[in-house]
Amino acid sequence: MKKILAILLTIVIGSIFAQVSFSGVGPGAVATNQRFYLKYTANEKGSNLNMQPPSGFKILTGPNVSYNSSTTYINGKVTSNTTYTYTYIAIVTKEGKYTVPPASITIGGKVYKSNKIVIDVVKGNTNTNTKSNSQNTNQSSNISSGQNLYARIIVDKKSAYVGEQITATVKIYTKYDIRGFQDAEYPSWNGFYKQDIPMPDQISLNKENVNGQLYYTAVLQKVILQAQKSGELTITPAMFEVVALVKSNRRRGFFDSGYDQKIVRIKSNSVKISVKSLPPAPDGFKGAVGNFKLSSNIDKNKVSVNDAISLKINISGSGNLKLIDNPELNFPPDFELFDEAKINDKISNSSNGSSGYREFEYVFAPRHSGTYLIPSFDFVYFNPKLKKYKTLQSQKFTIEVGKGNGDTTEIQHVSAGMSKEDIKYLGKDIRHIKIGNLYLKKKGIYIFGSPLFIFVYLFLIIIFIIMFVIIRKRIKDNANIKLMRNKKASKMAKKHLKNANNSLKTNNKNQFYEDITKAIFGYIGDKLNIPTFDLSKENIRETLVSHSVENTLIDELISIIDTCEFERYAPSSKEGRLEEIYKSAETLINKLEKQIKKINV
Amino acid sequence: MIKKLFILLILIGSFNLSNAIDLEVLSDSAQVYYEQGEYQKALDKYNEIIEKGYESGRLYFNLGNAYYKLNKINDAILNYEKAKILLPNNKDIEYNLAMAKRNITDKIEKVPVFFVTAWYNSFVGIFSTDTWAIISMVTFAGMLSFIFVFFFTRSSFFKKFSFWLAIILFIITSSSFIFSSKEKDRIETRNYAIIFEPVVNIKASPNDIATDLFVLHEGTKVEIRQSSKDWVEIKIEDGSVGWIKRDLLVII
Repeated sequence: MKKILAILLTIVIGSIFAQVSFSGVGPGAVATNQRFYLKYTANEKGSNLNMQPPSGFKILTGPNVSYNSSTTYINGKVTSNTTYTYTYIAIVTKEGKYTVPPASITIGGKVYKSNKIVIDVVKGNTNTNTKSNSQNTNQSSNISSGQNLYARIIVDKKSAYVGEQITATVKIYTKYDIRGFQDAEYPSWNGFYKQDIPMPDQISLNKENVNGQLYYTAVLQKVILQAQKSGELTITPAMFEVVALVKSNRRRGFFDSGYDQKIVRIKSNSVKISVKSLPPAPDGFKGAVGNFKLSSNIDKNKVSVNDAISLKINISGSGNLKLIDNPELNFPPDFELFDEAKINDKISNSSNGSSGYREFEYVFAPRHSGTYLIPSFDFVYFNPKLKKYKTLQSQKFTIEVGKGNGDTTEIQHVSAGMSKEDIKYLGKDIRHIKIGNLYLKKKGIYIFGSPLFIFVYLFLIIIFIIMFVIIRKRIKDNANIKLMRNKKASKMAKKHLKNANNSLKTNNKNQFYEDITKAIFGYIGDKLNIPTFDLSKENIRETLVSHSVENTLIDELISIIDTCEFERYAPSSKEGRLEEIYKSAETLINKLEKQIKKINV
Repeated sequence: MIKKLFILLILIGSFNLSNAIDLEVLSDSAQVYYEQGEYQKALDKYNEIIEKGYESGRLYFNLGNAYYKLNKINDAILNYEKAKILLPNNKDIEYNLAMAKRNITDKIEKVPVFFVTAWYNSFVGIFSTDTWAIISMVTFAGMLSFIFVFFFTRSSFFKKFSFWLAIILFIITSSSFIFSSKEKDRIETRNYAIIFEPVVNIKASPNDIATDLFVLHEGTKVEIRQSSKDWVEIKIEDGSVGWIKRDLLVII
């Protein structure tokens, strides 16, 4: 029994906080008339320890002071650890539940108080040894994992939400003296995210009152579980072999201690946990379950270009802190983020679940001057106690970026065209739909090969042919008219000359000259295809020259026309001339007829 | 009789008019839905337009976008390919098609197209078959009138001028005639298809027990070479040939 007490509690006091700590530890449960320790530890030397034992307590010795100091040197970091332990040895004679009120101590002029210690005292016997010995003798032959030695998996809740923290403890209960454990097979924790709660290297035994019976208990494993899926999850039993000391049946030799070592295989219970799925999640929920607080701060909000700024977002509380992802902060695109967020964790796992904080640090630098806004971000988590989603919002920050001390350099850069930047592509997506008119068309209808198409071609060809034929005919007809006039020319001339002859006989001078003119003009007009209104002396001369008629003939012709015109408008009384003119006109036309004919042929 | 015909004409006219307004309403509301992110509704509206028997490259493009946003990649590719047939030189279609194709499994080495063929294709693709047809008709009329001028002008300058112009117009009219016909053929012969089955074994012959030649995944474009009752022979872009069940494909 004393050996068990000797294994008692190696207490490690972390010096994480450079604060004074003062706490007390008791055995939890003891039997009546059994000696036990009450230990108070402080990390600095104190005085005036004042402990008021409740009535029924009998302090045998104490306080005995022991001092323990250690210095560790890791990676250039010096940590020193000092522990002062004040030990009382006490005994209780009457069973019941006793509470030792907080003890007080003065350290550095200040009074510190410890925690309360609760001790359960069970009915024992003054001659415990003999009784337990006889019990052991009875059972030693068939010791098994029965009433006197068993293991349990204890969970703090049997139903939880997905992601909610559950504390599970694998504990062994025994009435025997235990030497050790071997071949431990811990539960598989299927379906859970498991975090171990750190345990002391040495397994310590505590006394515990279970339904009025005193057991030694040892915690073998303590874990924080978070269910990953909903439904009923089963924790498989833990199994170990326990080396127990059992009173031997043999006759005792001189050196025989009277105990045998026996190996007993024990198996714990299995535990079923019903996991409820979370209610429908709002936007932004990423699986954080617990109870959290959010704070954010920025080291400066007035900087110059290219100065680094650090933004910290701190999420603290208890819950699945380790599963919290980087918050998605929308930095202005002109900010250069130096790295992904640096994660700084201070998370400790204890029986109360894992708690502490996770800090995200962003370091970034603005590349241009101006006023920028870093928008807030929403952190959504599920609070299993309230059974509700909660949203925390981080602070918005406005950052004023000045030109910086390198004003001139920036200007130089601008003039040198150095501050140009490539376009930043922030994401990739398909191009937008075509807006407005879609230029819809009946399916399967094309102009090519359609009746309209064929019609247009046919129509064009027909129009072309018709036009062609009509114009051709008109040209032909025109040509015919010319020919007719040509042929008729001398006939007409002769007719006019005959009229002239008649006029000569009737001595109608005016009529005579008119007829001569008609004969000459008409002839030339018909013969050379000149419209009547175009006939003039100049025109006639030109046309005749172009038809290479002899100049003398042309002169003669012109002189006759002149004479006729002159005689018509200013008649002279010469009679003999009439006949002369008639004759010369007649010969002239005949000559022309010959000359023009020659040319035409 | 004439009165009846007149009424009929008015009815047809008003029907067409109301139809056009309907289409405009449909495409406008589809656009609004799309911009609000209600892609399924936009999709329904665009499909309604198609059910009415209308189509256009832009319509298929928008439809493809809506499918893409709904993560129906096969349908998106199908519609982008349809759009590409009608608007062969559109860069937006190429871009979105490439984006959609990033999500499909099969990566097939393309046999490069001869550059002259590529030039020819992109030149023919400048205009649609209808535009080419109209160009052909107009230039034909022009050619005839210059032939006319050639025959009946007396000025030797106009004679020469109209002669060469008529020859140029003849070249234009005949080539655009051919282009129009080619474009129409290209649009009408739908011999490409998209695979709609997640994983397909391509067989050596149109038979379930035939040897498996290779495996294709959904979203891949194949060329149809010939078809029997339930099976079609396909060719993929690297030149491999095999048979696949007809109902695993959707023809573009």
